[in-house]
Amino acid sequence: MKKNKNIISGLMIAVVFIGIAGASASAQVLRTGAINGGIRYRQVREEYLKSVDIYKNARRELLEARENYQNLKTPETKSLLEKKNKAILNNAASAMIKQLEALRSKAENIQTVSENEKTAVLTELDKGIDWLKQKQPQIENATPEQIKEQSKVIRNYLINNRAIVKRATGLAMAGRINLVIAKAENFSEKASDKINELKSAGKDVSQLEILLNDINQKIILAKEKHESAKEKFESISSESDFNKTFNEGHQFIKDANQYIRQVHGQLIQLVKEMKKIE
Amino acid sequence: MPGAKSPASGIKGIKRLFININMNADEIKKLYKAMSEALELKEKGEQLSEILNLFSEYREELEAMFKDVEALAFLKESIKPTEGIFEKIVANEEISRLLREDEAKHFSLFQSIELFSQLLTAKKVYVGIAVIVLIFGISGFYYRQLQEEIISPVAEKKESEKLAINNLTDNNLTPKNSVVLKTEETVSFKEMESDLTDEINSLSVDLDDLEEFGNDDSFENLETIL
Repeated sequence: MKKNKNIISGLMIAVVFIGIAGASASAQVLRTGAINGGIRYRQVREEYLKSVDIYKNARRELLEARENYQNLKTPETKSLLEKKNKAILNNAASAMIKQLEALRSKAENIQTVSENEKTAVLTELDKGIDWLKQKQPQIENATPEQIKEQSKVIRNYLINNRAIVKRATGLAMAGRINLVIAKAENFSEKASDKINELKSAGKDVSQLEILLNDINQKIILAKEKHESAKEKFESISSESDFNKTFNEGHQFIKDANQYIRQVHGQLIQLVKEMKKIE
Repeated sequence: MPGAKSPASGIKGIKRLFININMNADEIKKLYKAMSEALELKEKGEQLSEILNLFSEYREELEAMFKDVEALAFLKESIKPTEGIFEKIVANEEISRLLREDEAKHFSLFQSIELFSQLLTAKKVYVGIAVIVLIFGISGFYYRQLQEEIISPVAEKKESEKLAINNLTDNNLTPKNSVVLKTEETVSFKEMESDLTDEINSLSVDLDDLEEFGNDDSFENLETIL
C-alpha cells in the first residue's frame, strides 16, 4: 500500500512537471515562432549563395568550352559549347531567382511602418521571380538555335533584374529605418509630455527642454533623410543609372541612421535627467 | 430513543478512533484486521464482550469502533450509508494516518499531495479529471505569463504598429500619423528605452543584410558572355 502510495505520489508530481514542461515548451514554440522569419531568411540566403557558386562554375566551364571550340572547331566541342550555353542560362536564371527570393524573405521579415510599402516591394520581387520561373522551362527545352534567342532574352532581362534588386533593397531599407524613426518620435513625444508634467509641478525643466529640442531637430533631419532616400529608391528603373541612384539613396539612409543613433543616446540621457528632477 | 448517543457524539467518536491511534503501519494493519474480524463476528451475532475478550489487545479501539457503529446505526435513517461504507472508511489506514498527522499539526506539503493522490485513487475518473484540470491550470498560468511577457511591451508595440500601418498611407506620413504608437500609454520609459535599443541593434543587422543585396555583383558582366 505504501509502495503504491509512493508511486501515485510520484506520478502526480511527474504530471505536474510534465505540465510545466509542456507549457514551457509551448512558450518556447511561440518564442521560436518570432524568429522563424530570420531563420528562413538565412536558409534562403544560403541557398542563394550556393546557387551563385553553381552559376559561377557554369560560367567558367562555358568560357573554357568556348575557347576549346574556337581552337578545335570540332562537332564535339560545338556540342559541348551548346550544352554549356544552356547550362549557364539555366544556372543564371536559378541563381537570380534565389537572389530575389532571398531578398524577398528579408524584406518580408523586416518591420516597417507602412504595410503598403512592404507589399509594393514584395510584389515587385514576385514579378521578377515569376518571370524567371516562366523562362526556366523554355531554356530547358530549347534547341541550340533557340538557346541563342533565350540568351538574348535573359541578357535583356539582366538590367531589369539589377534595377529590381536595387529598388527593392533601397525601399526595404527606407521602410525599415522609418519604423525606428517613428518609434524615436513616439519616445520623444512621451518625454515631452513628462517634461510638461514636471513643469506644471514647478520643476526647472529648462535643460530638459533644450535637450528635447535637440532630439526633435535630429528626428526631423532623420525624417528628411529618409524621405530623400525613399525618393531616390523610388526613382530607380532599368532605364536610369540605378547604381548611382541606389548609392545616393543609400547615403541618405546612412545619414538617417546616424541621426537616429544620436537621438537614441540623447533620449536615454533625457530620461536619466528627468528622473533626477522627479 | 433513551440512552442512544447523539449523532454529534458518534461522529466525534469516529474522529477519536482515528486520532487516538499512535501506531506504525504494521500495527495499524493488525488493528484494522482485528476490527474487520470483530465486525464480522458482531454481524454473525457474537456477544460484544466475547469479541472484546478475543481481541483484548485492541480492546480500547474496538470499544470505540462499536460505539461508532452504534452511533452510525442511529444515523442510518437520515444518512443511509451504503453497505460496507464504514468498513471502507476504517479500512483506509492511510487516510486515518494522514488525518492523525493533520491533527498533530504536522501536515506537510508532500503529505498533502499524498492525501490528495490517495483520495483520487478512490475514483479513477477523478484522477483523470484532476490531471486534465492540473495540466490546463498550469498551462493556462504559463500561457498567461507568456502573454504578459509578449504583450508587454512587445505585443502592445505590434498592436501599435498595426494601428500605424492601418492609419498610414504613402501620402500621409506626417509626424502626427507616424507616431500612432500612442496606445502604449502603459509602456514605461524604461521599456521604451529597451525597445528603441533593440530596434537600433536590429536595424543595423537589417541594413547590413540589405546592403549585401544592394552591392551584390554576382551577375556583373554576365551579358558579355551570353
